Amino acid sequence: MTSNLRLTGDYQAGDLAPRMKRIGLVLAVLGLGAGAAMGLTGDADAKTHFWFAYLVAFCFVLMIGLGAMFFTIVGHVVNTHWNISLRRLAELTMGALPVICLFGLAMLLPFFDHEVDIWQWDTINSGGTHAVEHGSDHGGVGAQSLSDTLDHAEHVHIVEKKAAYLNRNGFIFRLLAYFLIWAWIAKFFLSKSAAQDTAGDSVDNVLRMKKVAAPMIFVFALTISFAAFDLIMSLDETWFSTIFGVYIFAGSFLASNCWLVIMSKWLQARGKMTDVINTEHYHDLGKWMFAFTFFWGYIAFSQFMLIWYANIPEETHFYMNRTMGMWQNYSNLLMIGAFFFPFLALLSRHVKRSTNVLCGLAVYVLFMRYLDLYWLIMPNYHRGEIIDNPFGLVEISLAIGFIGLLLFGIARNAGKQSLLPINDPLLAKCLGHKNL
Amino acid sequence: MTETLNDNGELYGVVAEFDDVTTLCNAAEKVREAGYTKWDCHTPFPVHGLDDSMGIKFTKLPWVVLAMGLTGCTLAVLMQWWMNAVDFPYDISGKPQWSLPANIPVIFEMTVLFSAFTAFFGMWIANGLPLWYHPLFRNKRFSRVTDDKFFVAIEAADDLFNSAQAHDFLKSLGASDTEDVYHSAESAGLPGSLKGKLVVMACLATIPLSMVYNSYGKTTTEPRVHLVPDMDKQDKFRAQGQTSLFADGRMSRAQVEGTVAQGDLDDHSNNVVNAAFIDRGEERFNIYCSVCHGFDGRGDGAVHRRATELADAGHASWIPPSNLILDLYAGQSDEELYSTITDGIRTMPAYGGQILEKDRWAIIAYVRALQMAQKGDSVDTTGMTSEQRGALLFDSQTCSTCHTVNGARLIGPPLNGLLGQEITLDDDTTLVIDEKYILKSITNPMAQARKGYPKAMLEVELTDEDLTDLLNYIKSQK
Repeated sequence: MTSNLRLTGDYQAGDLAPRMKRIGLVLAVLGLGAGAAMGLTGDADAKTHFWFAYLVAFCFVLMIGLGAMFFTIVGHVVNTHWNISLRRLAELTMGALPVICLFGLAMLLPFFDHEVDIWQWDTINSGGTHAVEHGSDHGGVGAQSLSDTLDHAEHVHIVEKKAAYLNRNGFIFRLLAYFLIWAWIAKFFLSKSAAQDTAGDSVDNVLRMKKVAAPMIFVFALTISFAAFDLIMSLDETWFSTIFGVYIFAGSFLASNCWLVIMSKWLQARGKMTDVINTEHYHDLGKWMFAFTFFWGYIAFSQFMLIWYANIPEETHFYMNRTMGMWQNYSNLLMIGAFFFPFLALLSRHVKRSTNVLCGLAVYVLFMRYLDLYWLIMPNYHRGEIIDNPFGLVEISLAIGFIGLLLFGIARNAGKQSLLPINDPLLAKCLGHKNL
Repeated sequence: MTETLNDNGELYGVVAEFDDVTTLCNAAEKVREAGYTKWDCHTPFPVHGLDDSMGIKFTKLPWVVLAMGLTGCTLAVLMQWWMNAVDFPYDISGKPQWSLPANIPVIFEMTVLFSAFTAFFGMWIANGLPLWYHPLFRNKRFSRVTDDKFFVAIEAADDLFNSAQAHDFLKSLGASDTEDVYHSAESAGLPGSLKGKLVVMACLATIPLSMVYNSYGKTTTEPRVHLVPDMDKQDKFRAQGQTSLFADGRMSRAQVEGTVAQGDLDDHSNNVVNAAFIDRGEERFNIYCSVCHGFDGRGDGAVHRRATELADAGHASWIPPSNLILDLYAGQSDEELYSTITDGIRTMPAYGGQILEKDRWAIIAYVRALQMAQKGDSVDTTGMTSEQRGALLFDSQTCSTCHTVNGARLIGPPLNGLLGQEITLDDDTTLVIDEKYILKSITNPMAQARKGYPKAMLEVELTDEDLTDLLNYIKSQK
């Protein structure tokens, strides 16, 4: 066990923690503040745009945190050793979930602002009068938009049928449930793992984590799937895709692996963790990035092909909306930028072992993760209408704000224990890990 | 000393036994530095770092796999494009013959298949597999290579090899034992007895192939062999089968008196023809009927257009779908149309199984709407010759559904060059066709039906003037 290990590096966050906490807080205040100042002071249209952009930014960092959660849990379940030196970083990343989710609750505010039409199923459920008004203004629900093959009565009928699940109280309840479950999982694994650092020869904490991890796989799978249905899929209230949860999961695990590469590189540049995260660990993170780039593409194409082949109007409008006008460019960019390019770039072993190149690719792939969410969420703003590219300063400042929140959330816990699970029984094996 | 086999042939090389991984790795480094090229290490499990110690370069296999993967990808694209769009274009409801999304699964599979086979068999080739025999297995000590010992073997084929030096060198590296290893004195080829057996097996293997070849493309009156009898002969009732279970001996049963089958309660008398009903009919018509009958019901659907193209090029025969706007169909009762949709007619298949009963009535309501909407579209025939008017009638009165004027046989006989033709009637009498026979065949087709054709012609009500026009047209076709 650790008695044989000579760990001589620097594994304490030290003064990095309070500094990052401050920086994160400043970014969050400035980003969210600037976004709100630009978005919330405008007319109803500007407000709607603001909330869509807010949802994209929230989901973006949420997915990083959830991916890190899966990284931790699945490591315990399969008793892997290669990721031990990275595990605390993943635990810290998911430790930011409570902060992120707290700000995610703001997505409930549009329920109470009758000018804003984000959750259109709610608008229809609560009488639908606004939906009609909105539709006549913007070609949303009420108007026969270019790609919407359903007439208003059918549209309302479908939403009414879904109301048993998709209603305001159920939505608020579920959202709170997901957030509380995630917060608990994050706290449990971080605190048990930290307790193991000072537990000497006892491995009770590790065994406890492994025991809890297995059922948490199911909890994770269910919560991330239903959260994906609620937060993203429900924006297009008549559309449905059973693979959607898997799609979001693929993206989030990909995002968290990129995040871990960047975090490791950043820490090592500051003299931390230099001897415990080596080329082999980067290589493995790179393999996950490669695998999940392909997995994401595979799932995305599976979803597309079934809908394209079946050619049923209630499903195809999802892709119609995303191939009309300017959105076609986003679709093309996503296909090439988020699939073909990273797939080919990460194919080579040499790239995955060149840590600087890998880190650059990680930043790039994370950017593509944002683009993917933008592509999923934003076409619901002025749905079915040909509009100009809505991307602008509001999106940028909100993304910066939420990344600030993520940094703040991570730094909040970073100083409380070592950055390395220093007393984990598998640490020695992890440090001697080699890829063939 | 360990025992060795006696039938030694040529010297293979020197093998040295090591007790632990560290000594082995150090020894491997020294052997490499000494400049040997034909040598190898053998261990009970993969040893991390041994590749580096031995100076083995990273395998080039990934590049070969990449190249073959791309080959598979390209082949899959070309294969599907060639098959679907070039060599055997097949029209399915007017869908494009070449469309990338539909082909991606096969492209993906072929890429994986080529990559996986290349990786798997490439690994074999790179490792010199399959290998039936290796001289090291003749060494008794070497059997512990799968247990707890580590070995370095330097081959005699190496340019620097000298048996005595190799022994000393390996001992100096910490080997616990070194031994000479010899090839077997026997040839390394296959034993003669095995060769004979292989020849016999190869001969036997040709039997099923020759049986297949023998029966290929032939017919037989023998009943087929039932390899899985209980799959072929199941205890179940078939629609037209016989059974001793019921008194009338029929497997299919009539509905029990006084009962209604599921979904049958909602009969046509409940249908109200209103805008929503016709809209529903339009939607169903566009889905099910328009591919052949066209969106306007004039029988000019995508399937018809494409099939006509193929038929004109001589690739297929084609019976055109009916023009539903014709008076013939406008005059049919709703029930007749319903029967046609439900059970099919001529080459039109039955749609009863696919379209709900209510939807069939909705389609009829929509067809009526189409007929009414297009009723006024009559052709101005002033200034036309009698033959020209006849040609219009020939097409519009659906003669052309069953007859051609180019000598080709559809359902009925071709109508060119009729006058003076000697034909056989159903009652085996012969007759020379004259104008009277033609006219009679139009007004009362079944009275003197021709032998060898189905008695399927409909009676068509025409005015005398129309009859004359039609006759003139038919007469003009030589």
